[in-house]
Amino acid sequence: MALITTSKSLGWYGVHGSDDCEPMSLHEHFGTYNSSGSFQIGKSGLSETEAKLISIWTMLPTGSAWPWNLNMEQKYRNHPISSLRELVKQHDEMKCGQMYWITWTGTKDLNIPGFVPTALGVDMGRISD
Amino acid sequence: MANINKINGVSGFQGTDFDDCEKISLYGLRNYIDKMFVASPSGSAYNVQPASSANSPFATVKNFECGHAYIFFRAGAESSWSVFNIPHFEQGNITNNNNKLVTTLFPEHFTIEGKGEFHLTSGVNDPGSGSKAWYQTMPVYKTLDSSLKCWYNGSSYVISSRVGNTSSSVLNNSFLPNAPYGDAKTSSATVEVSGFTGGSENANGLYAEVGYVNRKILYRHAKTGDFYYFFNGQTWVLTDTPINVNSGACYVNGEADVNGKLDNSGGSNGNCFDGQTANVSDGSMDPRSLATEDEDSLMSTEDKLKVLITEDDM
Repeated sequence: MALITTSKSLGWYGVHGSDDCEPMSLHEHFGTYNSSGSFQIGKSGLSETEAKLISIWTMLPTGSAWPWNLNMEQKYRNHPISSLRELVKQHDEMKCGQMYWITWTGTKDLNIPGFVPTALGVDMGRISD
Repeated sequence: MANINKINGVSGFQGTDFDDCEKISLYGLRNYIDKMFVASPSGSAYNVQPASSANSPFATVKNFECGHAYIFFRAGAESSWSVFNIPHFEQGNITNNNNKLVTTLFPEHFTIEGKGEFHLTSGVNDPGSGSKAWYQTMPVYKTLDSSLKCWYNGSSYVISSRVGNTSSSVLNNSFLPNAPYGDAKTSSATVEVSGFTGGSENANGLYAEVGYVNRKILYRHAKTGDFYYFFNGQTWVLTDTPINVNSGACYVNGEADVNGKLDNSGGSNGNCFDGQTANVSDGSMDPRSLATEDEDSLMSTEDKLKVLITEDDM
């Protein structure tokens, strides 16, 4: 697993290992809201205040940057209009073989198994099937 | 390689393991790319580099470098975009990219006996140490409870309570964080390479697990990080180029099993292990089984065996 300890992180999700890569559901891991608007704590155990400090961005197939965060969950997860519910569903998990950039301003470490952080200066690996 | 379609934003990773990864000039792609973003070594920002000025001596980012992730945006009006190619680049936008994964060149996690389980981090963020993605341009590790950090001091990985602080520290005199620390064993798989001579002698030594390729462990030279031992689908290979034997690689072929002989005794195949042989052992086999009386470089001899097993013992 990788521990996100810095406020900005850019990397690839999914590593070759002894186990197969599994996608990670962001709303199950970091929390979401139920239909009555109550925060539902995720597997990470982060409180609502803490989880609001995370944004996980990706590039959509159209080439537009798109975030997952609690604000999106709160607005759209249970929206009565189905097309607006799709807004959050188009990016609500970390898929194996995708790039993500993470903004995290909390004080704890975020535990994201299978995420390979990169930054200028270090050759972290190679991509393959 | 990746053909970049007519979309505005692209994310991706430079370096695939089936070809010889090379850095690609950002300035050379200035007609296609407006700005490129890469995670800063500070861990708290992204470096933004206009492609049109990437040839400046003051440019922060000049190339797509192997093993790095990038985001970039297209140059010019949408009507002017055309498909272009970035060699060795893998796109990471949400799409069906066949589940491509990273073979890491540093371990993702490991346990050191008596110290605990360490995990790769996105960087240092200690009070007093400030925020950095790397330390001494090497990855930083920590235990889940943050009580211990594992960091590089310029010549060795160090385990201590704080990055940069050597109080009560232990060192492993290694380029890799998961090599043993003295008598403290590592949970990572290791192999020992021995028998190279002359100019190839620096490939001898301990190799530790850093990732997986072709569903087998990828080993890296623990002392220097300069050599890799990997399974190519048929045989094990030792190379200085992650992770292939393409043009320019210094390599020698091994056997179908991780334990065995690296053999280029037959002469020249155009690489720097010409005329060399060596043995590889992961410790699971008796090294005496590698010895034959006909070999020039025996790992054991009948005389040595007598020390262990005498006729009286039989």
